[in-house]
Amino acid sequence: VTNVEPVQIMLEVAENEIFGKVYNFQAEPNLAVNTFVTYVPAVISAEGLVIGPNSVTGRDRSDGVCLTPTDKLQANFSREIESFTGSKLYWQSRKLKGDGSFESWTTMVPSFFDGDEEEEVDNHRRVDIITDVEPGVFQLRAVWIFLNGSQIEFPYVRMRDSRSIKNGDQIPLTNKLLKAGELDFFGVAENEISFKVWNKAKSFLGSTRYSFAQEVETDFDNLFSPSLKNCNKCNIFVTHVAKSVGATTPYFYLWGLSPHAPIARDDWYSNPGKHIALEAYGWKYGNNDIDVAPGSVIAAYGTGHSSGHVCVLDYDGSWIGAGSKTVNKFINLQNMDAHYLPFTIRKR
Amino acid sequence: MKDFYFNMHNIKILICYFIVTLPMEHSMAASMSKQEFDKAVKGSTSFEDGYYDTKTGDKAEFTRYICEHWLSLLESYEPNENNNDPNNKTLTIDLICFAAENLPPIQYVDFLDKLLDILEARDFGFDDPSTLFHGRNAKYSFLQVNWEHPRVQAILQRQIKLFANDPIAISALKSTASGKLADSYRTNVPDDAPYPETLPGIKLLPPDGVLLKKIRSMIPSFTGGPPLSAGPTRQQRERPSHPDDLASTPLSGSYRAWPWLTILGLLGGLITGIWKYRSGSNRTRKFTEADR
Repeated sequence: VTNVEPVQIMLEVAENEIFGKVYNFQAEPNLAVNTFVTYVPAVISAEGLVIGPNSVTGRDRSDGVCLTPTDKLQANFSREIESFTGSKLYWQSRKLKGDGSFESWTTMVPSFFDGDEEEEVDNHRRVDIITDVEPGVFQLRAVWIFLNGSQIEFPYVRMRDSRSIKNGDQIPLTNKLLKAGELDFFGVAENEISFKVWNKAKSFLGSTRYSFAQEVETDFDNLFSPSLKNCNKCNIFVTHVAKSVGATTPYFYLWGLSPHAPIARDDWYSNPGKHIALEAYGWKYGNNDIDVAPGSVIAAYGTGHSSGHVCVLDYDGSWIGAGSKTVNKFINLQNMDAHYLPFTIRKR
Repeated sequence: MKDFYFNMHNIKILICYFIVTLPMEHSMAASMSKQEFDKAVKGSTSFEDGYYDTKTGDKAEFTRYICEHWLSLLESYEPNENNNDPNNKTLTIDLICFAAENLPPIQYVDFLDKLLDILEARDFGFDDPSTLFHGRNAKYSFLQVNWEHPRVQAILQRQIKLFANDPIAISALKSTASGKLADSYRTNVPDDAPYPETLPGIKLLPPDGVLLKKIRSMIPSFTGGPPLSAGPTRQQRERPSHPDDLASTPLSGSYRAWPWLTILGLLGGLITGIWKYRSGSNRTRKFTEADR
């Protein structure tokens, strides 16, 4: 193994109808040792595994990979690379921070739930990984390192455009970061209830139910709750989403107009809440650097009369929120405008 | 002493010159040129909540330009699919509407009329044009509270025809046109949000306590909610119509009146000050001469 000559790597990136961006690479190790010369299409995929007492099931990943801390992440490289003697494949992730930057890449440690020691010893020969996770929003990549120290990085990319990535303009703008071929993420919610909040919020992506003109009851369980029409409803969206999965938020008395007014953006933003203390209901004030996780609620103070925003964080750092027309995820921590600064995060 | 007096006199003249000329220069500079405006458009951004800004220019001047030229901007508007590209960015219809909220109420009605004209004349392929009529900031709830005004009614009826295929919009428009939303302006807005602007002859309906009274009449045992007197009274909520509504004066006139009034005030104060100062100086000199 130690006599292997440096390999020559040729990499080309192609667009594939099915997978989007595909990394084709040609490797020519010492032909005297190994005559294997081929193009290997490499696609990184990831999946959340829910490991129960008797079974392992996969998380729904139709709108992105989101897990809870008790789940495992399984990441797969599309082809096995054992043929390249001595080469090793490492898996790395890096965490997104609230300011849109990232922590440094860290190599993920495999964990094996079936106790296969042989696999564990030889884990770097494996092309997939199953690993424990912690709350956050992460990018993922596979790094293939050769004996001569050269390496190729294979990022985890989006296979398709994310849903509802347009803003509310009449000629809508699209957040290009959320299109096929761009870097994808996996998210880990703080806990099961945050996961449910995320799951519910993303189910509304594209819906017009909370549009400006739409009529919406503020509290479905209260006979006297008023129906609102022709007003911004981002706070009502978050209130309904949270309540529907048991992460209840309080209602309060607003000007005597409504006996059940949903808490406003100010309440999510301020600490303590402006009208009512959210902490008492389990919504704790988070740290923007370390508490970026799907299912948390993110609120921007904003400027102007009706501005500011309150949304649910998606698995990829996007803000799932009720816009003037649809529930969308146009805003993303990585390329958002200063209009949404400063913001705060609350988590269950 | 004489030299000192003349020097002081020159300094006063100089100060007077600056006081008079600086506001003039400022008011002249406040009008953005077409080139400056086009540059500001390249750096402009707008958001669904109605906030907008420009990174290459002063927002107030940018807004003023749109408010002064809204008619030509609407008439020459062309949709642009490439607004994601900063080099090809053009003014969006959304931003024109957001900025136009700064017009006085009567002129805002003129603006909405013209907006309807161009939407009726041409299909721009807009995503949801009915949302252009939703005031987001200064004109939040504007159509709702002014529903009784004949011109607002006309605008609402034209919208009902234009957006006939959009059931959500039609429902909201019919509620607005029948006055059902006239007292909902305090619903789900920040506590410190200003009251909606009204057209001549329109008074705000008091929103506070209506629902609570209804509940208490239905359920005598219900004791929830704040005391009804806790909110502002109707009297406090009503506000006079915008002074500019009395006559449809050009926006530039109403905007530019204040520097001249300020200058006149300052000039008056300055002349009085100089007269008093000189009187004081003469008295001092006379006293000195008499003393000698």
